[in-house]
Amino acid sequence: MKPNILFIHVDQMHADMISALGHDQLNTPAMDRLVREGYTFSKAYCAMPQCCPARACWYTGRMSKEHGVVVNGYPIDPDIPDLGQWLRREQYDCVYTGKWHVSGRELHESFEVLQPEHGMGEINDGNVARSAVAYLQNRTDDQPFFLNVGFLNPHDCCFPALPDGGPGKYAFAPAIESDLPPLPDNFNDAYAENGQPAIRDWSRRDWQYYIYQYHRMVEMVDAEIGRVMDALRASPYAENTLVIFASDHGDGAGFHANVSKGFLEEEAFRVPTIAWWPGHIPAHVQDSDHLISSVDIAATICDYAGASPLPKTTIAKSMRPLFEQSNGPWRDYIVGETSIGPLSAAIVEERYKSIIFTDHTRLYDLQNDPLEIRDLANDPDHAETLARHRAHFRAYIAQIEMYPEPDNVEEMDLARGNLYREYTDWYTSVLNEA
Amino acid sequence: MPIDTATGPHAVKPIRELLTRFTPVQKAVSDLDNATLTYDILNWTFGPRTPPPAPNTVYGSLTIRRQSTPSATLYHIQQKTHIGGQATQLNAELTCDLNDTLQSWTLNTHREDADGNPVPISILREVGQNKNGHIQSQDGAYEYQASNTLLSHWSLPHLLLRNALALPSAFDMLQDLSVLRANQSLIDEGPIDLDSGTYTAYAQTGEGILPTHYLLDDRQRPQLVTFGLIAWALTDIM
Repeated sequence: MKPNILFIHVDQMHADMISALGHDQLNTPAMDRLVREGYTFSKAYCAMPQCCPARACWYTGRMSKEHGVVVNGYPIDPDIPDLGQWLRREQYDCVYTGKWHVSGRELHESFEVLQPEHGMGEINDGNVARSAVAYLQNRTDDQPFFLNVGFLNPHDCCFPALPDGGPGKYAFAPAIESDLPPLPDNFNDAYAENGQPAIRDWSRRDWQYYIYQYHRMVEMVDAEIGRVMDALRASPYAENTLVIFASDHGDGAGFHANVSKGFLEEEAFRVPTIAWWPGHIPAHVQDSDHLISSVDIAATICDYAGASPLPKTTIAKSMRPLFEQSNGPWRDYIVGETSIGPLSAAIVEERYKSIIFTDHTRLYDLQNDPLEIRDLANDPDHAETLARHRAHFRAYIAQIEMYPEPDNVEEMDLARGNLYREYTDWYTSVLNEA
Repeated sequence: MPIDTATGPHAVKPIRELLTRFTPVQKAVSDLDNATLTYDILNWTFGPRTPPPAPNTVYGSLTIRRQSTPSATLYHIQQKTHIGGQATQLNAELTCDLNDTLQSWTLNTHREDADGNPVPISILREVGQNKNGHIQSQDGAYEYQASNTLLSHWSLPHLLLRNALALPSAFDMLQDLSVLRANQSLIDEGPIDLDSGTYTAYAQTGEGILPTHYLLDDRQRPQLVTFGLIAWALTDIM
């Protein structure tokens, strides 16, 4: 019997903001229970740390430079099927509630829609949860379901972080003065000197307040996750449903004095990823040995659904062998990309990570410097590592099927100009280094 | 209280500068124990640089009717919201003890189709109870343990209207009757002067919520409740 599949995702959640993973400034009982009962990856990375590209990667199993959504708003390659379309062929009841945000594709083309998306999590996440609970209680179909629950929070953190204040009321309350969290150990007002722009002219207490409200938004969405999981556990589907929980990308959350996303430092790039299916997926495992890319989620879902892999997936690997603890080979590195700000790509190995820009590279030893404070790129002792990462980058470019500049690019209303030409030129030049 | 008002971001500016355009309800209420509060639910977009007229969008309405009986306090809730082109109806009946501690409840909700009919797949009925802090839904769909007095977020404006001083110093809150917000507290922040008058502000803080402000006028009417992106603005009281 094919399993049901429940894919719960949140938006802009920092990978470590789960109390069961050791965070002591917030309380996340629902995600804690997922950690206890499920298989948690501590080295899972999004394919690109921005909403539309990351989501297109989830649902196509392709990297951002393959499906065309290289930055928010750029349209997806219309010829690439997504998971909804793909699993419908396998007789799955493909249902979606909440945030979609895959630019260029209407959600109803791929899924039955329960609750439409809305740009503010505080307004809609409760309805999203309730729609999923109602679906689980009311459905009468015999076919397996592929239910996607797209929560928006903690993405609402974007509003108080807007330079002009943005919408909403994020007023301080004196009562929380003593509850403000400490700043991260790598909080660094001078990070701009390292190439990352300091984007907010805030006092230290402003930063503490930002982090405080971010924690509360994580708690908000945690409660909604719990609501859906509780309904699943109480339903007839509890024993035959694979649950995957993930975030599309992380958030600066004050690390490196950063907010938001789009950059390849760990806080925005690394994401929470948990799989749950009691009796089928080992419980209480925290896997720090295997590097996971968010495109692997599509491959895993296809695998469990008994579907062939999505077409033209080049990087994605099913996580199922890891859950079944078969000792096959896994990848040695993963690649992430971004087109926000300067074009860049990250290579992450078990120990070292480089962030490659068009004109320079930064290198970090994640084992000894997980907060990425010391750039080792100019250290001669690490020249070999740098060269190896450059070779990985070339191999990656050679492996993917680069989405070409569309013929009608001049007619397209692209907010950030012709990024297609920028990355194809850069990637081609890197490839030609060989 | 000076909190980075000169240089800080909007995130930490005090609420008062955002509230210059609010018009309060003047109607009197005769029976505080059996009052009905009606609110517009706003998508709260007041901002310091937002020019008038205020762009706040009313996306729903909420009526909270309190009914006092010799043995219990009842709350009757009606809420309708419009999100993404879809209307959602929510009706709830709450039974509380005489101190307004939540004891049991029934909630019915559904989305409406274009003709105003319930969408079958969206129909949800939840029945729950609180027994000495053990919160459980009848169908076993959720279960929590409260460590403090359990209140509904819908009863809080009434509690403030009747006697803010009687509120427990710490409480747990069941939001939408299905999400537990633990370890809440409410403090008197003192008077706040707006163009429309002077209000007493109470601030609620705790797990899973942003600081929430309740603004009470000189007759203790809770005129405005501001969450993060949502606000309740009083439109009627009786």
